Amino acid sequence: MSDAPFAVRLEGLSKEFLRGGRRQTFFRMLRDLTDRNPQNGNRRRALDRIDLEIPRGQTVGIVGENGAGKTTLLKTIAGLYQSSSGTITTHGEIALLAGLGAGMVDELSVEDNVWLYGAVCRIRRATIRARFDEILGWADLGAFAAAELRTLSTGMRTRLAFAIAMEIESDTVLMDEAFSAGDKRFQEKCNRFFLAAKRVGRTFLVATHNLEFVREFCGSTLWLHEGRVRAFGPTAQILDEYIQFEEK
Amino acid sequence: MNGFTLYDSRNINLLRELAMSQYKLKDQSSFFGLLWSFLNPLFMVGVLFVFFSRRFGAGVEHYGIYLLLGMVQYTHFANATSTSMRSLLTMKQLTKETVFPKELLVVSSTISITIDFAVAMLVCVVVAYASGIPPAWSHLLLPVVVVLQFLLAVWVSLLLACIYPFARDIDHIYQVFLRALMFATPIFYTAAFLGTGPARYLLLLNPLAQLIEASRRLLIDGTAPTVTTLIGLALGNGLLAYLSWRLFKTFEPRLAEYV
Repeated sequence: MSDAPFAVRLEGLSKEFLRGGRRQTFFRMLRDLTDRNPQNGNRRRALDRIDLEIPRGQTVGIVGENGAGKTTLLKTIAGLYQSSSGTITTHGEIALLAGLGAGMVDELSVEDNVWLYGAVCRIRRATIRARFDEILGWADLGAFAAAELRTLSTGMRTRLAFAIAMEIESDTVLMDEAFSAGDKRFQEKCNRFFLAAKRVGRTFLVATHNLEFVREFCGSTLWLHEGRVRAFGPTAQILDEYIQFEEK
Repeated sequence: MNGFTLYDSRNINLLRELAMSQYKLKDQSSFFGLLWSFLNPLFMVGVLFVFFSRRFGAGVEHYGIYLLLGMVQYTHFANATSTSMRSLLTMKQLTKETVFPKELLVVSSTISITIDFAVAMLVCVVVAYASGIPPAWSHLLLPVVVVLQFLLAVWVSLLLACIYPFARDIDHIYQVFLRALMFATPIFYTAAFLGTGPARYLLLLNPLAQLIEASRRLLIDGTAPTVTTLIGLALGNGLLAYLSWRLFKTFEPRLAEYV
């Protein structure tokens, strides 16, 4: 890993989406490719000139209303979306956890899903092999290894996905509402994980509506509003401003 | 994307897990699943044999095996490319929510279908022995044809898969192309049937025809493929590999937004 003081640096980052609704056809694709004056007006700006530096080793909360650009920001940093303008500089490997459990298959067994989701999360096979029993144990699913995933409750599936995702070894982890589902016991387990992760000094960017989590675990918080940075700073101060804004 | 390379052990692990999960989902890891995947081309062979054996099969040694090989290879190519073309949308959640080289979704889909193809080719060999073709050293080269056909399916799939999210009707266009390909490829007729006209030369541009020709020479004639076939295969694979890889990597950064 490099010695840069930051994990992620964004300079003038903007992201625009084409407004949907048009049926994609081969003819339209060819026309768009050959069009010298493409219609750029029908676009929606999801991120608007974001300048930001996320220090290494911090857990940063991202708050904002639905549609504020939280998920788009994480996906653009991760490289899943192409930015429309601006630059992204990252240090170390980045992992994105958007949609916890994405790629798990209902018709396969819990055991098969541990291997599959572990691979999707880019966890090494040797790590999964060594930690297999601990993963099922953390998720309280030791007795369900052979059961089909579809027979599990939503809470059980979330626990399983989180238990696997905890093994991600990347320097920076981008999380989008990864732990919003689940009961109190699960929340407590997640909290223990974040406490331990904090001590290790990994960087987390967590987009969430769970303000209690942000207050407890995030040293600083980013407040996004309509695709722009409304505020970024110490969590206590930003959350107070955000809650006041929400109450209005 | 985040500096991942195709040779990263985690990519290979993901490719394996994706291929195996798709294979299991097809319910083809069972004996009957495998049987059904072989019965499809076998049924077509039966129909073609009844209708065309007198017209096109006269003078062709082991016409039944000749037809079977052609049909098995064509069916694999059509199934693998059609399924893999749709893979980025079939596994939409993975395309939209996760970060890894997206060609892994397409290649894993092709692998899951090629497993059946490899078994079907083995069955062809068994049927060939049962019908009186003697074992020969050339038969040991048949796996090379299977690998080359897998690669051909991968290149075509990558080409189609990266266009499909932007132009869904390419599926309909491709199905028409596949129907035309079936008649433009010597499956139930021989290359000699085309005479010396331009259609004969078009065969050189048809890598699937070259592969079918190669496996027939290896299994039925017991001889190695001709130099022309080898050159055709190398050129076809090389050109397609270059084109599909370039195109896929051009479209890849926009895939998560469009599926």
